[in-house]
Order: sequence, then C-alpha cells, then structure tokens
Amino acid sequence: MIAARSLSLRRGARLVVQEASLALLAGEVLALVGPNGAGKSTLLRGLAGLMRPHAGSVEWEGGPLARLGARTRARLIGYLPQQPQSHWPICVRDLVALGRLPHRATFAGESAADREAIERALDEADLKHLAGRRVDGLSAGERARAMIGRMLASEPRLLLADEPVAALDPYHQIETMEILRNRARAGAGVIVVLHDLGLAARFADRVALMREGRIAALGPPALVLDASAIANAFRVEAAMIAVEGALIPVPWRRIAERRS
Amino acid sequence: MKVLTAMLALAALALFALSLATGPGGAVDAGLLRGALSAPASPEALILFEIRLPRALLGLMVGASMGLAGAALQGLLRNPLAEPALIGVTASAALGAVIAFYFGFAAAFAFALPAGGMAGALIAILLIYALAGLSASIHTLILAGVAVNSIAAALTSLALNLAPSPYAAAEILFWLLGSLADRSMEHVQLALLPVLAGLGLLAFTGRALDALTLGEDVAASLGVNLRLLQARIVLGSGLAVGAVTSVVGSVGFIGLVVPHLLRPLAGQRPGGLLLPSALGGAALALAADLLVRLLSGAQELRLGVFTALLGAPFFLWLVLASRREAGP
Repeated sequence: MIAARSLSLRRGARLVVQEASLALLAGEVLALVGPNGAGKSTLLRGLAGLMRPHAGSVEWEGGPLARLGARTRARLIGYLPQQPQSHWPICVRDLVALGRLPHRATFAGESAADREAIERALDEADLKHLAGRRVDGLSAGERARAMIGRMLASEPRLLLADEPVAALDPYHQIETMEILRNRARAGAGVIVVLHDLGLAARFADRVALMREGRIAALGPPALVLDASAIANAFRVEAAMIAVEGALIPVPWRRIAERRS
Repeated sequence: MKVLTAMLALAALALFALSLATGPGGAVDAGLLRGALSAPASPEALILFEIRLPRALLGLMVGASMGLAGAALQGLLRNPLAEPALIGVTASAALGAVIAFYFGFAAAFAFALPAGGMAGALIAILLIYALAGLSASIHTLILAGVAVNSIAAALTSLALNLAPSPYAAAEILFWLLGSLADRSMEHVQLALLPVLAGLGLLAFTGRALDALTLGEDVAASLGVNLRLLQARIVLGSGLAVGAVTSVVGSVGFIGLVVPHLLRPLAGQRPGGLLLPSALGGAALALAADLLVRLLSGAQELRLGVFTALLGAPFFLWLVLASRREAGP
C-alpha cells in the first residue's frame, strides 16, 4: 500500500534519512527499530506525508502520496507521534472523537458511523471507563492509550505509530501490540517504531533495522534481529531466549567502546 | 454546550436592550423607548436611534470581536494567555488614529480617525504576513506580533512626545483610552463590514482548532492546513479587532478574560469555545459599558479604563491559579 523509494529527508540542514526504501503490504505489521537518532521518527513522519522529501518519493498504491488531498490522506493514514500531547484538558471521549474529523462532512455533527467508530476505539483501547475523564487527570499510560484510541477512531488503512508502548505497563504493552496486530489482521497496514526488540520479534511480520539514517536490514524478525546485527546496530550483546518456539532477543550488556 | 450558547445569547440580547433603555446617568427610562417607537420623528426617537443604538451596536461589535478573536488566537497559539492585542493590530490601529490626529486630518474631516485606525490595522496585518506568513511556525507569528506591537507603541509615544500642544497630547491620550460614548451610526457603518468579514473568517475555524489540540503534527495528519488556518486567524482577528479599535479606541482584556472564563463551561474544546466567546464577549462589553454609564460622574469613566481595571486583577488571579495548579 505505502512505499518509500530512495527516500531522503532533511531536518534543517542535516540529512536524517538517506535513501530509505521499503514497501508495506496490506495486513502486514512492520516494526522500525534502531538506536536513538537513527532516523526512525523522521522516516515515519515522511511516510505520514508530514515532510517534503529532500530526494526520492513516498507512494500510495502506486501514485505519489503528495498528490492525495489532505483530507483523503487523513482518512487513509493514521499517525501517532512519539509522546503525543493534548494542549487543552479535554475529556477522553472528545479526544478520541478528534480521530473522526477527516470523516465528518463540513458543518455536520457526529454521524452514526462516527459514533460507532468512537465506541469501537474506546473499547479496543480499554478506555470505556475513562471516557468522561479529563486527560490532565490521567496517568501517563492512560493518556498514551487515549492517544492510541484517537488514531484507531479514524479507522485508517495505514497506522503509523511512533513508540506507542513507551509509557505503558507490560499488560498494556502487549494489549497495544495485539490491537495493532488485530487491525492488521482486519486488512490494515501497520508500521510501528519500537525500542523493545522482544515485542518487535514477537509481533512484527517484518523488521526494518535503521542505523545512521539508512535502513540497514529489512526482513523477517528472525533474520534481522540476530545477535550480531543487534551488536552492530545497538552496541549491546543480546541474549537470545527461546519462548514458545520463537527466539526473543533480550539486550544484556553494553559492548565496551572500542578506542583507537 | 447548547444551553451555554443559548444562555449567553439571551444575556447579550438582554444587555443590548438594557443598553438602549439606559441614559447617560445610568437611569433606565422605558418611557423613552415607548415614545421613540410610537413617534418616529420625536426627540425621543432621535436619542434612541442616533445616540443609544450606535452605542449598543458598537458594544455588541467590540465584545463579539474581542471575544471571538481571543478564543481563536488562544486556540491557535495553544496558550490561555493569548489575546487579540498580541498580534499587534490593536496598537497599530491606535497608532493610525493617532497619526490622523497628529497631522490634523481629524479636524479636517470627521472620519479621518477611524479611517486612520483601519489603515494602521491593515498595515499591521500586512507586516505580520510579511514577517511570519511564509512559514507555518507559530513561534514566528508570536515574534512578529511582538515586533509590530513594539514599533506601533514606540511611534505612538513619539507622536505624544512631539505633540504640537499639551491639548493635542491630552486628546490623543483620551482617545486611546477607548469609549463607546458619542459614536454615531456612521461609525457603526464604517466598522460593520470588516467586523463581519473578520468574524466570518474566524467562526469556522473550530474543527481545525480542535485538531490543533493534539499538536501541529497530528493536526496536519488529520488533514488540517496549518498555514491556511494561521492566515485565516490573523486576517480575521486583524479585520475585526482593527475595525472596532479604529472606531472606539483601545478596549483590552475582554479577549483574554472571556475565553478563559468560558473554557471550563465549553468542555475545554477550543472549537466549542468560539461561539460562546463571541456571545460572552458581547455581553461583557455591554455590561461594562452600562456600568461605566452608571459610575460616571461629571467626568466620563472610559470603557477601556474600566475593562483594564477589571481585567488586571483577573490576570493576577490567573497567575495565582496556575501557580496553585502547578503545585507549591
């Protein structure tokens, strides 16, 4: 559905993403992993259509993404930034309802379809009991889930999530990954930035490993997330632990800086 | 939400009627209304239509413009301390009027003053576009506003400094204080078109402002054109606020206080706050003008002075409240 072709993106004068190429299929979960500053968030913003490519292009189903209207794009692509914030202390339901904005006709209120999508999102993100609460009174984890709910309410065909599990406890981390997995099973595409390599290995169909602005490796988790690739990219030794037939990498100790 | 809007509309309407019925000493005389409506050519009708109606209409326009512009700017900048004066249009409109005063245009023809004010406001809008219009950055907009404000304030001070006579300086200062008294239907007509255009531009920014609650990136991903939104709000606020400032002088704090008071009642949503702020602003301006008439003795108490007197303690309370919220 979405594809980056030799995409380069700039932040200020610095080239943060260089010649990144990837293509996502519908129904697929792709995990973007890599050390801090590798360009994961920037690549995600580029795929969301929020940045103008410095070189290369982003394509949506074969045509240039930039040619889609802002509203069409907003309906197709849901974007969840890293550490999303709400500048006003609105209530959770109102926040989730913002996800419906691209679907609502000018001047029209919420339609039945809007209300259903909002209810579904509240349900999926485990927010029903929080619907009337103000976001400033929520815990960090509850707020993060409300933001996920907002993206789900848009019912986009492509979900782009930047570290959606960063603020969550293990229960809700697994729950969030299951939500994304389920959306993929229902036919959506998912690209998710993760720092937890275990979650990436377990929930992603494919993993893209980024390093210094480039996609260093792209493929099934078992191939991309092996001990030597992790050592090269993250400068940590990873223990590979077999759980239910899958090898899950667990970062174990830092590799001492080589000094020349 | 709808209840709030209806109540504010009723309050504004009631205060509008009360403003029509209230004389300069603050006395309510329903007899004048009856007399004016039964005999169209009577002195009562003259008072009603030539003196009180423009005053009440201008109160409505000033309040609605300040309230709506304040709510829209607070939403755009995502800051509860934003107000219409922030983008420098108020100061520039005042400067335009002062220049008209200074060079004697005001004495030469009656509407030089508001015309000068509107020219000042328009120049300010163009200046802000030139400075901030090309980037979508909110920071640049604030900086441009500060710059335009400073320039206008400095030039106004210069005009006062070099005023040909103490009398001229006093007149300039007095005009700057802002008042609804002694304005005519011509003043209303002059301001009406830009005010309506400005309010129209601002009125339909609600959804985009709601989306902006989640930051610029998410708003853009929800299909909001941030550059267009910013342009609309600067132009809309500039037209409405510039036009009312041109005919009544500087009236502060309504644009700050009203959205802030109504925000909790409107569910904190910046989009839901727009219409209530316009109505609430109109109600507050009319109420303040009524009180001014009630409290004025031999010397007229200026509306701008009165709103500042009300607004400054409110501002202080805001600071204390936000300190309490942030914890000790």
